[in-house]
Amino acid sequence: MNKIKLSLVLLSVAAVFVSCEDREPLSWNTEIFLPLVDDNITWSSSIPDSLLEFGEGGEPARMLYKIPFGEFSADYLPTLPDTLIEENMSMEGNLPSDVPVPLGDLFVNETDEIVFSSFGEGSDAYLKEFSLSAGYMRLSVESSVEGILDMAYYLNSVTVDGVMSGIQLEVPAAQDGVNGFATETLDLAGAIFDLSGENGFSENVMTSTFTTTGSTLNTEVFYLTTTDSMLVEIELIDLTIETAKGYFGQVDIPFDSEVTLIDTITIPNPILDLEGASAKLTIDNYIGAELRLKFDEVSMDDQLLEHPSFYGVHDIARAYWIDETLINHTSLELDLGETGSNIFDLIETFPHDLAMFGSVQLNPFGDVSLGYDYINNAYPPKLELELEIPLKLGLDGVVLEEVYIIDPMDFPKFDGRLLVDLTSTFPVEVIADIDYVVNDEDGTIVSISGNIDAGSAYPEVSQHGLLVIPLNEETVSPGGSVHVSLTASTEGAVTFTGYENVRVQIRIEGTQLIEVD
Amino acid sequence: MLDYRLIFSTTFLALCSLASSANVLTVVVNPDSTEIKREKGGASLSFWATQSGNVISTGFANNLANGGFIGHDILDPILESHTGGFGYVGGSVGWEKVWTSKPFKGSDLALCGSMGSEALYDVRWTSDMFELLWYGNGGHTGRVDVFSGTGVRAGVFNRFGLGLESVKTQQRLEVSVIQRLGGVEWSIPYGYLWLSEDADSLASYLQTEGRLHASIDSTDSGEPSIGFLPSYGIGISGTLPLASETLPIRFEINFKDVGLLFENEGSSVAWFQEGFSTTGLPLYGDSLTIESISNGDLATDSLLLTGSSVKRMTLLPSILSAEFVYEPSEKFMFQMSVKSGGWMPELLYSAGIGWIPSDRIALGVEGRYGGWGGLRSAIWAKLRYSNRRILVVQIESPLGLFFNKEISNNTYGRGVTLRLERIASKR
Repeated sequence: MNKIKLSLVLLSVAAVFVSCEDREPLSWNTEIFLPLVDDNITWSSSIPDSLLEFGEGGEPARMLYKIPFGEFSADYLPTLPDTLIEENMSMEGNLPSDVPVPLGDLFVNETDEIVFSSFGEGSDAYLKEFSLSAGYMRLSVESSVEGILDMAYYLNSVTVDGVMSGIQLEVPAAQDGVNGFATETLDLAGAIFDLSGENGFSENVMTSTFTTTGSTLNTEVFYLTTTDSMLVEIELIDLTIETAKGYFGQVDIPFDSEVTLIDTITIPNPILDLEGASAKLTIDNYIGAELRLKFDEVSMDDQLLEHPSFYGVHDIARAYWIDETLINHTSLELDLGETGSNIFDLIETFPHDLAMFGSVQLNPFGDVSLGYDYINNAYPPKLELELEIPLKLGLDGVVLEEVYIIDPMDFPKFDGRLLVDLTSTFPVEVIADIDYVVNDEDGTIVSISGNIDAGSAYPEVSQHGLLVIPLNEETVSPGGSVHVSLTASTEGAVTFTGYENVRVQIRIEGTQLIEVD
Repeated sequence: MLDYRLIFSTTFLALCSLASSANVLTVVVNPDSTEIKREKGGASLSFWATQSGNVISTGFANNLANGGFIGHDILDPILESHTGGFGYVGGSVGWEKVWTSKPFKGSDLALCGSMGSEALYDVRWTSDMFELLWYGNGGHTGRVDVFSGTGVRAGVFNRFGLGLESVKTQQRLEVSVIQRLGGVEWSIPYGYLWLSEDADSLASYLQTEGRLHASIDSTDSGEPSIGFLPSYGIGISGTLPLASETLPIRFEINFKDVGLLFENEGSSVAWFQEGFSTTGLPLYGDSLTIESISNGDLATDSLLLTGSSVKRMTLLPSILSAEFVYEPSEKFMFQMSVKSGGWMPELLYSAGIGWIPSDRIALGVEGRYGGWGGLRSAIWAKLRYSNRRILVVQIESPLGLFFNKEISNNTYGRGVTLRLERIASKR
C-alpha cells in the first residue's frame, strides 16, 4: 500500500516537471478566396428585353417598339347619366272623399314608359339594348297615408339572369303628422336593358310598373284621405355600360396622346444606321361601327413628323359581330416610313417623346346599320405605333458606369489583392477604369486601368482582361466601393447581335493571420 | 534528457510496485467447475480517465498549448490523418463499483449489483471543416465542403444496477437505473459550402441543432440561473462467460446499460437553418447589399427556432463487448476483444498478450484500434497484494501522458484505469 502511495507522489512530482511555460499567442494563416461580384452587362442594361429581338447568325438585333396609345378608348361609348324619376301621387282632387283602403288588394297599379333621351351628347344616337357592368337602382317612398302600404317598382324590360328587376317595399304608416318612409336598393350589375318598348320596335324606351297595396299587417281599417300624398323616387345611379346595341351617333372624339419612346437607351454619342428600319402605325377596330381617324399633328421631341399622306382622313370599316360574338376586327396600317417621310431622321436623334393629336369620328356615314351598331367595352379599339430599328450603331464614350459596394471585412493582417475579371464579347475595344475607394478617413482611392480587345458574339470570341488591385488589412477592413467604368468607341456604325456582353467578376484573394491569445 | 528520466522513473516505479509482490492471480474461475463454492462474492472498484482521437495528436495539442505560429508543416499531417473524412476526439472519466453477495441459501444464485458515475464526451468534425478553419478556402474552388456530421455532445451519467449472478456459471444479469444528471449536444446534421471553379458563385447551407439538458430559470433580475434537469432511464447489463472444458480458451460477452433514457421536457433547444446562394457576395459582415438583392442573384433561406423540448426517448450510451482469451500455458495468455457503443464512432478492437511470471503478478501489452482513435498501445499490470485482493493498473497510450514533451508528439490519446478487485472467496 505504501508503494502505491509513493508511486502517486512521484507521479505528481513528475507532473510538476511538465509545467507550463511562457506562452505566446497562437496564430495561423488562412487563405481567403471570396467572390464578391459577378455581374453580366448586356444590352439589357441599355435596352429593355421586351424591346430587343436578338439577331441570329450574325444578323443585327432589332429594337422593336410597340407603343399602345391607351388614351384612345372608352370615350366612344354611349353614356348613361345618373337619372332621378320622381312622382308625387297626391289624392287631392282625385278623391271625392276619404275612402277605406282594402287590405291585400291593389289600389294603385300604374305602368309607365321611360324614354332615355341623353345618349351621345346631342347626337341622334339611340339604343335598342344595353347591358351594365355596374350600377344600381334605389326606390324611396314617403307616404302620408296612416296605414302600412306594400309597394313594388318593377323595370319590366330589365332582366338580371332572366329575372325581371324590381324592388318591393313596405312603407310604414304615417303617425302624428310624421310621414312613413322606406327605401331599398337593387344592384343592377349584369342587368340587360331592353329599350325596344312593348311593341318591340321602339328605341330608348323602358317600361316600368308601380303598384301599391294595403298591407295585411294593418290591424285596423285605415282611410285614404283627400289630403294624402305619396312621393315616389326612383334613382338610377352609376350605370356603366358593358355592351350596347343601337346607333351610336355621329360623334367626334378628340384624342391627345403623348408616350415615352426611348428613355432607357444610354448610349454615348450614338450613330444609328437605319437601313432596314421600318415604322408603322396600326389601328385595330373592334367596334361594330365605322371609324374615321384624322391626325392633326405627330411630333417627336417637338420635331414635327413630315409625311405625304399621314395627315389625311383614314376610314376604318366596322368590326363584324354576330350575336355578341366577335367574328372579325378590322385594321388599318399606315406606313410612316414611306418616301417623303422624315421619321427616320427624327429617330436618328434618339427622340424621347412622341406626341400625337387628332380626332376619331364614329359612324362617319351615318346610321348605315339601321340601329345595329355594337360595342363591347372589353374590346376597345387599339392604336399602336411599331418601330423596328436594326441594332447597327456607332458609339463613343462611357458605355457603363457601375458601383459595387464592398462591405467591411475583418481580415487581420490581410495580404492579398482585389481581382477584377472582365470578359467581353463586344465587337469593340473596351477601356476599363477601376477605382477602389476605401471607406477610410482619407477616402483612399486605388486606381487601375486596362484594355479589353474587341471580341465577337457571332462567332463567339471572348476577350479577357484582368485588373489587380493590391490590398492589405488597412484597405480591406473598412470596406469600400469599386467603381467600374467602361469606355468604348467605334468607327462608324457596328452591327450588334444583341448577344454581346461584358462579364464583370470581382473577388478577393489573399491570406489573413488569425491570432488567438 | 528530462523526458527519458521521466519515462524511466515512472516505468520503474510501476514495475517495482508490482514486482515486489509475487505469484499471480487467477481471477477467473472455471465456470464449469462444480467444486468451487463461494462464500462471499467478488467485487471491484474502478476509476478511469481516458481520451483518444484519430487526428489531434499530442504534438499538435502541445503546439496549440504552447502558442506560436502554426504552419502547414504542422497542419498537413493532421489534415492527412483524417480517416474517412472525419476527425474524432472522445473519452470518459468515471468510477464504478461492482459487487456480488453470498449465494442465496440452497441456490447457486447470488444478488449482485453495480453503481457508478461517468462523464462522457464525443466530438467529431469533417475534414472539410478542419480545412476551412485552418487553411481557409483558397484551394476549395469547384468542390463542395461538407459539414454534415459535425457535432459535439457531453453528458454526466449516474447508474445503479441490481441483479442476479449464477455462482456456478458466473452469468450475470442486472437491471439498471440510469440518471443523466446533465448534458449538452450540438450537431450539424446537414451543411455544406460550395465555391464554383471560377470563384464566381458561392452557395452555402447550414442546418444545426443544439440542446442543453439543464433547467434555466430567469430570475427577476433577468440573470438566468442554470440548474440540473435530470432524466432517468432503464437498461439491462450483464455478463455471459463461456469457457471450454477441454481447451484453454474463454469467451465472454458483456453488455451494459442497454435501454432507453426517458428525457424530461424542458431542455433548451435551438434549431438554426441558414442557406444562401449568390453569384458574388461578401461572406462576412453586413453583406446583403441592395445591389445583390436588386440584381436578383441572391437567394436566402434562414430560420431560427428556440424553445424547450418535449418529453422524448433516446438511447442510453450502451456498451456491448466481446472478449476472447487463449491461455496456452500458465505463463502466457492472448486476448482479443471488440467493443462498441459508449458514443464511440467506430468499433474498438484490441488484441494483446499477457505474461504471468508468478501467481502474484501479471503484465500485459495490447494494441488497440478504433473507438475514437487509431492504432495505439496499452499496457497493464495486475498485482495480488493480499490473498483476495488485486490491484489492476492499465495505461493506454502511455507516452501520451507526457504532455508537452517531444516523445508524446505522435500519440493521439491517453488513459489510466485503476481497479481494485476482490476475488470471490472459496470454500
